[in-house]
This record gives sequence, structure tokens and C-alpha cells, in this order.
Amino acid sequence: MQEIQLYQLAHARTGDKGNRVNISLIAYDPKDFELLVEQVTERRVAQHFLHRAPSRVVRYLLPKIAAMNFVIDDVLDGGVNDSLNLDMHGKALSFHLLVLSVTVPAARAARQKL
Amino acid sequence: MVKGDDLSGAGARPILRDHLGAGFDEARFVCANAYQGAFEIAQAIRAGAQVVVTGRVADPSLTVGPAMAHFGWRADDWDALAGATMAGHLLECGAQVSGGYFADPGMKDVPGLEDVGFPIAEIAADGSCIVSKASRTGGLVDERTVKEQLLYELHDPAAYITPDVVADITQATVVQVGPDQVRLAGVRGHPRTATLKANVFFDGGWFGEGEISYAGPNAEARARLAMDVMQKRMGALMKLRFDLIGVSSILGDDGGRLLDAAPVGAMIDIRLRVAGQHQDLEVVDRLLRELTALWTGGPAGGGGVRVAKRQRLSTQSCLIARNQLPASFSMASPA
Repeated sequence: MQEIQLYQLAHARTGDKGNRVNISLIAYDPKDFELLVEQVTERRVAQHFLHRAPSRVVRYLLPKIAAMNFVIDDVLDGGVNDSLNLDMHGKALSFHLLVLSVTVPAARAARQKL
Repeated sequence: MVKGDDLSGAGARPILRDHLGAGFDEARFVCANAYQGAFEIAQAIRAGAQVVVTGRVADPSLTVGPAMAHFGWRADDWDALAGATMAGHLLECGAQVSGGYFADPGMKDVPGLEDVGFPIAEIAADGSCIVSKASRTGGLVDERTVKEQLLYELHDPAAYITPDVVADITQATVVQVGPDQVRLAGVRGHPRTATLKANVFFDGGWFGEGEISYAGPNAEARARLAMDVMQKRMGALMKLRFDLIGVSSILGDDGGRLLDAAPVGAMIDIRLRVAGQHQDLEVVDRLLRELTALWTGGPAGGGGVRVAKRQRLSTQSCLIARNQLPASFSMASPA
């Protein structure tokens, strides 16, 4: 087994509504979806965004398109109209999610551009 | 012309007060608008309109309206409406489905991003669609771009709520059917909700921000000293946000825990940003003057001060029963 960045296996996009952000996480290869479901859990994502103090993280699964959707509450300092952040939408947060580490079989890791 | 979204007038005030209660601040109220749907757009087109102008409508309804008029869908053809809604959702952010907001060199390459094309959705009678883009343009439409945009600004994928329908994409399929052509099918629809969403806007006071740069040995320590100076000069008057651009500027929240926890690094080219907001313009102006004063009264070697201010709106949202928000269309008379 080997640890790699989630970035190697999946892509992601941030959207926002009010003080809530959603980050989609989509497996490049649908064969990796199950592994992502096992390892990229609500609890881990909440921990990963602890510095933004989320009040709730909910994960929705879309196996037909090898994707999941994380809905993360109260991490935008009130949202677009209230935040003092340069990135008031949280657009950059998708790439922060992708630095999470995942453990994969060595053979799987070897297939990635590492 | 489709009307019925505007709740800014005195007549709608009781509705807003009912829904926001103590949150409705009359003195700061600016305007309010409900999201209307596709039905009146379709009616207007069926009545012969060539161009339909609306107030606030839900973004996907701009796509659903013409499709509804073309295919003669009823207001309860939920699956078809849901399919067209997701087609509209894919189109509503311009190039975001055709290669914009997507490129990541080496991982997700997009050809000709400088000439990115806008998307096209060909909608079928059952509401499924094929997404493509304008010919002879750059960009990319593939399963990855469509999946990313399908989930953009979405919460529960089984219940994407618009004024027209509740769309469920949990069984939807996304399949490449040709070069820059992707088919979205299998979207299901459920009856629309009994309420419409309204956004209510209030005067949010003033926002001010400014930046200054430091370079060379000990640059980050000097930038952090400038932070400390600003906190001591202004911190009692307003909540300030600090960023060290290049070290930590967007990952942290306004609370600043991430930056506070980061050890002082050895960056030799660093830009400090300070931001704050206040109801009182005087306070924001003072913040900008203090930022400008970092030039002559702050740490050594500070350069490139820029300051800016602007007014802000703050938003509250609520759900209002549809029967309180009738929409209608009328034909504009020729000039």
C-alpha cells in the first residue's frame, strides 16, 4: 500500500450559496470510486477544513458518475456579501480538498504520474 | 415582459416582515426579489414573443422556458422539466461547462483556453440533452467538464430545487457521444415546491481594504509587524482580517487561525492585505488612512500601498408561498 494525494485520483469544483460551500469530488477513473468512498469520509473532510470551523459536513454519493458532493456549512464567514476573504466564494477550497492523502495499492499508485 | 419578482415596493412590506420577523430592518432595507420560474416565459413565447425580458428568475428557468414552449410541456411534466433544468444549470455559468474554471496543466488540459467557446445544449423532447460548444472555438466539453458543472452549486443531488421542479440527478448518466459532445440523460423530476425563494437586501455598510509589500531579508517579519501595528491602531474600532499573500491569504477564514498558527517563514517577496467593514464610512476611511500611513510610519521598506473601499449589501433569504407571489407577462407595446 502507498499513500498518495487525492489530487492524483480525482478532480473537484467548488460552488457556493450563502454561507455554505459545496465541493464535488469526481474520480478520474470510476474504478477508484469505491476507494474514495471508503477513505474520503465526512469526518475526514470536516477535520481537513477545521481551520474554517465547519458546523456540518454532509456527503452525497453519485455512483453513476463516480462522484460525490460535499456540502460544508458555515465556512464562508457569512458568504459573498459579508466575508472579508479575497476568495469570498471559497473557489480555491476544492484544491485544498485535493491535498488529502489516500492509501492505494502499490500497483495503483504506480499507474499515476507521481 | 415577465413580472412578479419585485418585492421592493411598500405593498410587499408585510410579506417581508412576516417572513423575516425581527431580521427585517426597515431603515437599512434596499430591495427584495423572488426567484420566478419558466412558466410565464413559456407563456410569453407561445403568445408570440421573440424576446422575453424578465426580472429575477432562477437561472435554469431561462433555458426551461423556451424548451417548455417548444415541446408544449405541461407544468407537471416533471421529468422533462427536470432534464431541461439541468441543461439550463449546465449553461448558466457560460464557459464553466466548456473548459472554463477547469484547466489544470498536466492533469486537466484544455486546448485553446484563450478562445474558450460558449456552450450549447440541444434538448430533446424527454428533457435529456447533448452539451457541445460553438464551432471553431477553444475549450473542451467532456465527461469531466460536464460532471463538474452538473454538481456546481448543488447540495442534495436528489433534490435540486428550482421554481419549476425538484430535479434528481442521482440516476443521471453523463456520456461522451462525440468530440466536444456529451449527453446528459436520466434526470428525474418531482413536483415543484409550494414556495419560492426570495432574497432581501440591506445596506451592509462599507468595506475597506489595503495592501503593502515587503521584500528581502526578514520581509515576513516586517509584514507581520505591520499587521501588529494595524491591529493596535484600528483593532478596537473594527474587526480586521489579515493576509500574507504568498504565505496564507485565501485558505484561512476571517478568524485568522491559520495565519496565526503558521511559523514566520523566509519569504523574500510578500504582500500584506488588511480588510475590514463597518456601518460607518468614517471608520473605514480611517482604516484606509492608517494603511496609507504604513508607508511613512510602518516597518522598514514597505512599498506599493493600494487602498480601496466600496459599499456592501447584506442578504437575507426566505421562502414565500407561491400564491403570495403571482407572476404574469405582458407584451411591450411598439415604440
